Amino acid sequence: MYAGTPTPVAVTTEEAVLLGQVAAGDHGTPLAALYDRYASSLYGLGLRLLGDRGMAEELVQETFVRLWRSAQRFDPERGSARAFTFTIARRAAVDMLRRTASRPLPTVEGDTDEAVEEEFDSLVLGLGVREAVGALAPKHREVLELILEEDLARPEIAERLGIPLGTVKTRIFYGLKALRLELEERGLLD
Amino acid sequence: MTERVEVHVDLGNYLLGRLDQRERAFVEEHLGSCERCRAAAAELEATAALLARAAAPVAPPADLEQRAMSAVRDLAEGNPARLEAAGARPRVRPRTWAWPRRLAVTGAAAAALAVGVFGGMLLARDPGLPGTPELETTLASANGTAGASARVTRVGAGRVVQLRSDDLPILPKGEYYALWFVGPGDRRGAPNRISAGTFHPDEDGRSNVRFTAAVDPEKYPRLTVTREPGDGDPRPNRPDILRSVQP
Repeated sequence: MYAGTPTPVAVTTEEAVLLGQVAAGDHGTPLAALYDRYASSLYGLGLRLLGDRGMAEELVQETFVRLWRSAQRFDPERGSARAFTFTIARRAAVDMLRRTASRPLPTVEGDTDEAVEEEFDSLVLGLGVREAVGALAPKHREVLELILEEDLARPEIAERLGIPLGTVKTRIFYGLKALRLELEERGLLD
Repeated sequence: MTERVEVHVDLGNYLLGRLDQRERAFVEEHLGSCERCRAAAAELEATAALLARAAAPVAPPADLEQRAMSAVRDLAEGNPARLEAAGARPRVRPRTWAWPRRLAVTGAAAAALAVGVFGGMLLARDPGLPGTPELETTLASANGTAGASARVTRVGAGRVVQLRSDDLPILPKGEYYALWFVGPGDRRGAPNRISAGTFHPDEDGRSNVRFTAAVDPEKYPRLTVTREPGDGDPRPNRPDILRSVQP
């Protein structure tokens, strides 16, 4: 299996088709479509892993260059296009960090390839969790997003959403229950 | 649908670590005596821990897409500087070209004109169409995005090699491509290759060339194309742009 996290079947199929078109030599629209889908995830991951905007940009670019070169090796039986892409990105990140081994790495403990890969996989999992939150019903998604993105306290959430404080507590609890199901469905939680 | 479970305390915020010390102590005391809340907390503990690791995507700078896509385009369209930099393992795009009859005839006719008197003897024995080829090979760039097909035919004591590619970029003035027969052990610094000739693509980027050479393809079984800088140095010391794909 490739690295990364399972994604819903329709998305998986669509992205596999796009990657198939890239493998067949089309570096126009299909590749741009894959960029639209993956670039923000890769860039967010790169910022956290590499701790540097320039390197995060390089990671995105390098991933797409490598994706173009190796698209023909993609086998849908072995995993999704997204997972394939993130496996490539992980390799690129390891190579980048090895190349710049003298740089201080504020976000990566240790300097082995394995440590980098582990941190990378952990961040991929984090991206998957964030995506799962986004897939929840609005009443659950809203409260969890206000916590994640804005770190709002309960009274502030109540005020923002115009709901009683008691409802905020209930929604957070049921939001967690809904998230558990969503994570299980995505294979991120047993 | 989420199963509705009544809990007696603010478990969600407790699990997310968002309670102050007093509230937390209150919840923990309750958990010590309430099995239902304890079970609910246990069920959601892992979820809450994962939520804490949630990592949001971040939109990259707007111009990054264009930069990334043009880096790929350079590779795809065979900017040789990039091909070298890429240093990729050969990625072979199977490319089956029917060898067009019209081309073969035109090629033979052109060669007859070019070879003129000196080659007259050789071509007299050439049936006019390519005979049984001794070598037919596909050439590909390291990233598989440019290719060529080549055929070597015995003509008298020599060989005629025909090369066709629609993918080689047009070069700046003064530069040209060279086609090489490559033997065993060839590497940069210790070449074992014989030049078959040099060429340019036409203005549409097509290369249809035909060379005569006194090379035995049994001894030099691979073909490569290099890009030559036009510096007058005839030594084979430039990196390969295209290489024979091993069958």
